[in-house]
Amino acid sequence: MKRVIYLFLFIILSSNFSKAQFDIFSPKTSIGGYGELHYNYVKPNGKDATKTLDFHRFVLFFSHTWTEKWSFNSEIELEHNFVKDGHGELELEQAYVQYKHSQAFVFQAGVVLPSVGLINETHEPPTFLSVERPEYNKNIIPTTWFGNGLSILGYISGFNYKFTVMEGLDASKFKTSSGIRSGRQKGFNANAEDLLYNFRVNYQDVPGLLVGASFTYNNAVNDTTNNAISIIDLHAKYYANNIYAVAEFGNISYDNREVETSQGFYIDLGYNIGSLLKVKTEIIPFVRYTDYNTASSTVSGGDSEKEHHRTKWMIGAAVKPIPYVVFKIDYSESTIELDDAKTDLLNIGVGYMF
Amino acid sequence: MKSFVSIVLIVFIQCVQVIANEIKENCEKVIREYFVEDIEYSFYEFEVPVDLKAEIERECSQRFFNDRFVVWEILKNDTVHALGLLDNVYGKSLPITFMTLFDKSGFILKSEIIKYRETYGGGVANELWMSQFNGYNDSSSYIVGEDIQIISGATISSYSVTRGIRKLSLIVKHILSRYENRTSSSR
Repeated sequence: MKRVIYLFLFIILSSNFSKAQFDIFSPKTSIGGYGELHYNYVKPNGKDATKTLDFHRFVLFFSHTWTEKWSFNSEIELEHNFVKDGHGELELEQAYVQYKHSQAFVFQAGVVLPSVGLINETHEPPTFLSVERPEYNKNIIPTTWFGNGLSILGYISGFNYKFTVMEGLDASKFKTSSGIRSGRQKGFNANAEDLLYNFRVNYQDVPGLLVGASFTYNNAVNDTTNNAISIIDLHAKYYANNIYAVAEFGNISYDNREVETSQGFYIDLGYNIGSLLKVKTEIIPFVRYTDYNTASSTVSGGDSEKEHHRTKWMIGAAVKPIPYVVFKIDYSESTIELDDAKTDLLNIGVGYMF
Repeated sequence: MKSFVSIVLIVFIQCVQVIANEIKENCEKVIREYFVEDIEYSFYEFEVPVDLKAEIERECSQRFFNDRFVVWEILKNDTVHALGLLDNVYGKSLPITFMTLFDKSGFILKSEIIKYRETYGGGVANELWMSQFNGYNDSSSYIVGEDIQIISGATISSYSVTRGIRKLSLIVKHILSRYENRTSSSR
């Protein structure tokens, strides 16, 4: 028996020597977050301007890794600084247990994010150029879109995939003016009669470039007859050589509604002139063109399609003294097709992430 | 019974060692694939001198993961041909283990992510991205977004790995000078 104990001690000591040098992992709890303060000036043509100051989002991430394979991640968001009488929102936007078998296969279960467009999963203020998130990511792709479910994701030879099955949408809350946005159940006693299926693939093998597409299907529940929706989204982003270029396109098809499709796109083009000025601060003037219509095709046609068709030109600048802090300003003019009604908007903001 | 207990203990310990061995084996694979000629290699632990540690951390705005890290010594004809430095930096919340190979003059030959633990941002392991550091040394400019392209969806990891490699390029000078001193004192 003595020999067994000596052998055991020998192996323990030798393994500890090796482990100390190569195995650096230890369980860890982490905190992260982001936030953004906005000043919004909105002046519809022929009407008085409104001016608001809003701490739009205060978000905290909490995560814990038990082992290299098992972890927990969460995101809690307070919107508009205050929650009372229908104002502001407190949301649990992510809360999932994760098993990472390998880089190619990761499993998540809990409150998860479907992967639709560029902004839904990555929306920290320093990662996009405008003060507010692009309007396309509000009225066509509703961000932040989260729900109870599970995801399988991974990275294989430059391709990043994600498949999500989660609670579906409530079709009784769809609106002509904002598409599927109000139909999100947000994990609150969510109706699970008909689940939502989402698949996305991104190509990311060229430094700075991301190109991808996603498809989403849900037979959205309704009071009487369900309304099946399908979403196709195409997206691309190039952040390299001081160039900031983004393009997103999305189409929602409805099976059983006066509105048959919602459609939109936007394009960003910016350049970091900080490099020309030989300063470390990134200074990125940019221009954005947006075109979206939450009722791009309707059964009755006519004015209802024009009423919800908006186009928008925006110019602005994002200044990043360090990669995690951004100051932004943008000016835009938005036009509604029906009566050519124009609205001027000026936004100023500061954001951070850590 | 004794044999059974021994087998159980050995199996248990071997399981614990799997992760450590995976990192060691990946390092050896990188070395063998890069140096196709006849070489020998071994490793030792290097303890970062306290004053140097503080100076480099200030310069790179990033702390060392540990006070010590593994140095691979790559020998050709019994003399040091290159060094491989194995270190870790934090991504969003988990450590990223990477190795950088340096020639005798402190220029980077190759960098590779040995183990990436985060779920997102795995693009930093991209060979093309890591090859941007090839030929760099301690006096090169490592500005992310200008000299080093950023990875979409891996902002934090891009900055973190870049700082980590720069730290190694600064400290390798000190390690190489030890070899020079050893050579001159043996003359």
